[in-house]
Amino acid sequence: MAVELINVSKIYNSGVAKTVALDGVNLSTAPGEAVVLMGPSGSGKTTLLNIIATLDRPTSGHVLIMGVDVAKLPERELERFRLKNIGYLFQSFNLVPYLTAEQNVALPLIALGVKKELALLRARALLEFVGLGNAARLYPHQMSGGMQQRVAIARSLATKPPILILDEPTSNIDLDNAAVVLGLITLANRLMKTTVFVATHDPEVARIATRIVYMRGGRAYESPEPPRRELKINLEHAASAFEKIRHIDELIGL
Amino acid sequence: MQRLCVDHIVMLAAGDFRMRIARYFLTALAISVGVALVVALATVSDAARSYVEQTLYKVYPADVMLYSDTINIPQRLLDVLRKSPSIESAEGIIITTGLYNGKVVSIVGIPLKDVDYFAIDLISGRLPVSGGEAVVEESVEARPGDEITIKVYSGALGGERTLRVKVVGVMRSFLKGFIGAFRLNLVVVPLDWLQQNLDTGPFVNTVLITARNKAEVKALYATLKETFKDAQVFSQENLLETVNQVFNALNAVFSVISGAALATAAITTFAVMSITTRERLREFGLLKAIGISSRDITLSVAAEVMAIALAAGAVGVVAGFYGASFVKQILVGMGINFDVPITFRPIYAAIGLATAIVVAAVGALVPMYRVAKLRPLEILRLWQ
Ligand SMILES: Nc1ncnc2c1ncn2[C@@H]1O[C@H](COP(=O)(O)OP(=O)(O)OP(=O)(O)O)[C@@H](O)[C@H]1O
Ligand SMILES: [Mg+2]
Repeated sequence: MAVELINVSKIYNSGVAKTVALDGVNLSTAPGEAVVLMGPSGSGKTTLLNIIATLDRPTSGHVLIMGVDVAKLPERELERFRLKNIGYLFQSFNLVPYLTAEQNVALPLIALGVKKELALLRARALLEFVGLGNAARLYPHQMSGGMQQRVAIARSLATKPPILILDEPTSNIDLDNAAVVLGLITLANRLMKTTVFVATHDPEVARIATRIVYMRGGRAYESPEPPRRELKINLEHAASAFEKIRHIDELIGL
Repeated sequence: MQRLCVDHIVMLAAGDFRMRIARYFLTALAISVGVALVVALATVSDAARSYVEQTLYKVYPADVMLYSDTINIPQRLLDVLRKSPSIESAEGIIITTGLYNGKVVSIVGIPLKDVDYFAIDLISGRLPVSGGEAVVEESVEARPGDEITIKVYSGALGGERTLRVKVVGVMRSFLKGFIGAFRLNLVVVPLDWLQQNLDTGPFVNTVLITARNKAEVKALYATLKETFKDAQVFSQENLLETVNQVFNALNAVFSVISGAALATAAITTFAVMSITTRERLREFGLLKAIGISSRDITLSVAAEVMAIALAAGAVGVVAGFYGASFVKQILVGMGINFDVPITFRPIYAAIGLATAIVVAAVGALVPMYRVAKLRPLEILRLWQ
């Protein structure tokens, strides 16, 4: 199992009021699955993603990620664990403002101990993968929101993490870029065997799912209907860039 | 302990530095002003002190002066003193007070054979060569050729005596001012003649002693003080002590001034770092969500602060040193006799850089601690 949630609850205690954000969630995910979380605002999607991303700890229950019980890890080890295993994409503000696109993408790899030149090499290949091969030297403020989000996808794939987590990745960008982003997520999911978790309000995003989980009042309900998977966009450049990435990975030993 | 790789830390530090260069420049400016003040004041204070000390040693031929109120120090004592291995020279003289023309004058009897030792700085006329001849200080207002009469009240020996001397020279200074610190209106006459006229016999009341080794002056002073309990013993050390007291007081004032500048620099650093880390909260949250460790984030902030501090410190050291030289030039140009040699010492660089680092560290400590203690979710919540 890539991710195993056993009876996970999260209760926020703000002194006066108690909010049950997650209420006994059970969810097992095999490697290579693409799980789309849907549900109304406040139903606990972000809370669940944060817990899987090891950014938050459950009030009760167990969280096993790649077989590791992350609740037991101290913060310092969690940092390293996240670096290696989790790619996280927020709704917006995913890039360090004073680093170029390639530096942003290379950052997690360098932090992992990969030599700077090799990290930048892989970063540029990843930027090609997301269709931004010639934006490598641009700063975030020189790019549109959609481009930034694509750079962020490249960054979240930098350390070849087995798990990719995206919280409403398309809600702040235009339709065309949203389509590209979804295509890229699917490619990552299929080609790199990355396990994907996406939270969204957008039914369009459900197209990339292998499983759909509905959230309501902190509880998770699995959708019985088999999701449709169709990709309309042409992502040939991504596929060829992927070959390049594989080659570089052999060099780095990722 | 996981291997510390610095590339990403440097990348973060350099990137942020470039983005906020204006405010970091201001921080550096505040620090370098404080450091420059510290270095400039240390330079000036050191230079002035060493100048005064050197001048004292160079100017005064004697290191220790033995003085008795009555003329009761046997001249034979001089031979004994001269035999001591730690004593370079010993000269016996008589200093006594008289009245000339309604003016209090100091009559000094010196042995003519050692006249060079007393460094009489003549303006006009010549040195005395026989009894009854005198060289007087300008302030006595007598000219070569004048015959003057001085009334002497020589205390213990009793009674009033009259000395008649012929002025043969007028001098600017005597003993390079060593006596001048105690006496005014000097009238210098031959010692043996003075002893005859005052009926003192082979006695003097003042002995000027020069040590062979300046390091022994203190010990010599102590020994003489112990041996001649009736006499007063003066040494340059006493003068130096006064000088040191003055400098210490000055340094205290300087410390307050540079302390205020350094406190300002630390507060500036604190303000800038507080604002900056608050602005960077989103970024830190993002970095932590990616998996960059708190340690590395904190280190990147620390690296930036230290780079700023070191650059500011280096600039401050150079500016402080040249500033001190410049101020000296201005003072000299204004006609103020502040001709102290300003020399650079490595300790200034060490003090300057250490000051810069301490000031920056003090200023940045609290903001950096806050960064180190941040939890990713606390930050992410701020912008979700
Ligand atoms: N830090 C917190 N303190 C208190 N309550 C919180 C906190 N974070 C989330 N909650 C509450 O937990 C519940 C679930 O929030 P969550 O953000 O997971 O919902 P969501 O499904 O992501 O909503 P949206 O679709 O609007 O993003 C909400 O009621 C929310 O108010
Ligand atoms: Mg949410």
